[in-house]
Amino acid sequence: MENKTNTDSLLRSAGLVVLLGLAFSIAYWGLFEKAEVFLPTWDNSMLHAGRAVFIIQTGHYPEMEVVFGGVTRTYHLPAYPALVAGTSLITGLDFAWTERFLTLALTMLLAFAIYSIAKAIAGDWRAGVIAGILAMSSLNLMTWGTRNSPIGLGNALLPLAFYLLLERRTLAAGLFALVIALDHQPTLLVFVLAAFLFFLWEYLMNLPGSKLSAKGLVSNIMHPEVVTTALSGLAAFLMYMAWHIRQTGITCLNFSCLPQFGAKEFGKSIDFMEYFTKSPQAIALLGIVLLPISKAPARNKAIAFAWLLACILLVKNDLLGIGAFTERFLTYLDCIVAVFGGVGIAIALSWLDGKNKHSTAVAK
Amino acid sequence: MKGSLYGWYDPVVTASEVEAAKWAYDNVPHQSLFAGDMFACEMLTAVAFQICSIGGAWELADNANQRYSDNERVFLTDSSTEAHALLAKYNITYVFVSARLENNKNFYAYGWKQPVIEKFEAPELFQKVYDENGTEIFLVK
Repeated sequence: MENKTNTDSLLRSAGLVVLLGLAFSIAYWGLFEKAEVFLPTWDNSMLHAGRAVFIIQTGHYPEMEVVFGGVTRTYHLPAYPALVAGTSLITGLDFAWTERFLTLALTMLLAFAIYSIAKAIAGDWRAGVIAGILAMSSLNLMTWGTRNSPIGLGNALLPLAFYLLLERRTLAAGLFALVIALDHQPTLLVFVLAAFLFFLWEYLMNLPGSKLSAKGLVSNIMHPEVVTTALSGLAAFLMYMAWHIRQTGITCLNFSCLPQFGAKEFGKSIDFMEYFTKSPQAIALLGIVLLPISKAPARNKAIAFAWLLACILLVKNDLLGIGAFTERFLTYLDCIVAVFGGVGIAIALSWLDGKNKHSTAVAK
Repeated sequence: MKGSLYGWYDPVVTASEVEAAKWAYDNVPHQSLFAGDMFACEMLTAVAFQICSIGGAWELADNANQRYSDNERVFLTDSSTEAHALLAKYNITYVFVSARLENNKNFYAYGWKQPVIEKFEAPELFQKVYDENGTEIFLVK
């Protein structure tokens, strides 16, 4: 029995090492080998580097855009450039090496974050390793989600934020929510929408006597069963609104003044049949089918499906009559889809080897 | 390992352009206004600590389409005076240009195109302040 435990522990460590090694190698050969003396500039990564350099040079965040003549008040969020500038000032590295270092670190953190949430949902470390490997093989996530830009930070923080919600780590979850709110608007949308759906589930399941009225809501959000999600979601929303009002005043509370609405970026309608028949997304179907009938705790299932549903709603926002930024949300869909893939395979493996690994999560 | 992601990590800008930007950092007043292609522009904001005529994130720009259109015209027109007038319209003080002969790629607004660099060789309108390995910087008079 002890030998079996040792073997399991060894395999778990080996799996995590392989996953982190894979993440490191993808970031290294994808970025360092190609970048050589400069960074990639696709997806405006140099633009975000420009903001970081502005902070390094002046000690202040650039209030105006650094391109298009520098005449437009910036609506970009400050967390990522501040992270680059802070790391550069602390380490003494120039901005370019700081960006390279952070890309390696954030890609590895992304792999670890996906490992953590998938392992927590399934109660099985194998789910974490498989989900991480699937994520590292996902085109949208790795193309857009691991860059020298705010989305790189947001993508790494998002799975960890959901992990903290699941584990009911209120303070840490709240801090992650605040950073996401000050990092990247699309990441924030995914977080707030998924947290809201998860909150609704928690509220309805755990407080059945409390109707969803405005009066009851205010007092019940402090209930231990819902407080982590409620406060984190609110923290993110309120922090972002504070930033929005700081940048645009109180005359644009409906966001209609933003250039994004004036110069709307149309997104094409995504065909889910095509999406889910490609690798590695097709594997997620296993998790989508098996997770609901597994013995994983209902909360674990709820957060996974809240995250999935939020991404689907955002990708398919054309069905809601919006039709903007649809493809951009595939980056986030890839992430939860990889989690479902890992969870599905782990559940299947548990059933195949005759032990219900995810029952550990039940006991927990 | 490179796979289908490799192309998306393409820096586009050349080593010659980065060297020119480093020169600009040392020799041009910081936060001066440059004109260039999209990738050079963004690189200039970081490496040279300058401001540039266009960039990505067009949805956040003021009157982005007009700026893109004028920027492209500056680099594609044969006319020195037309280019100078458009640069003056946006108070641009430096032009950053590279033939990128190896890959033939410049993105001034709408697609990959080659600039007409010869028009900047007009001493009454532009003063060449840098010329190394295919990258040139001109001061707009």
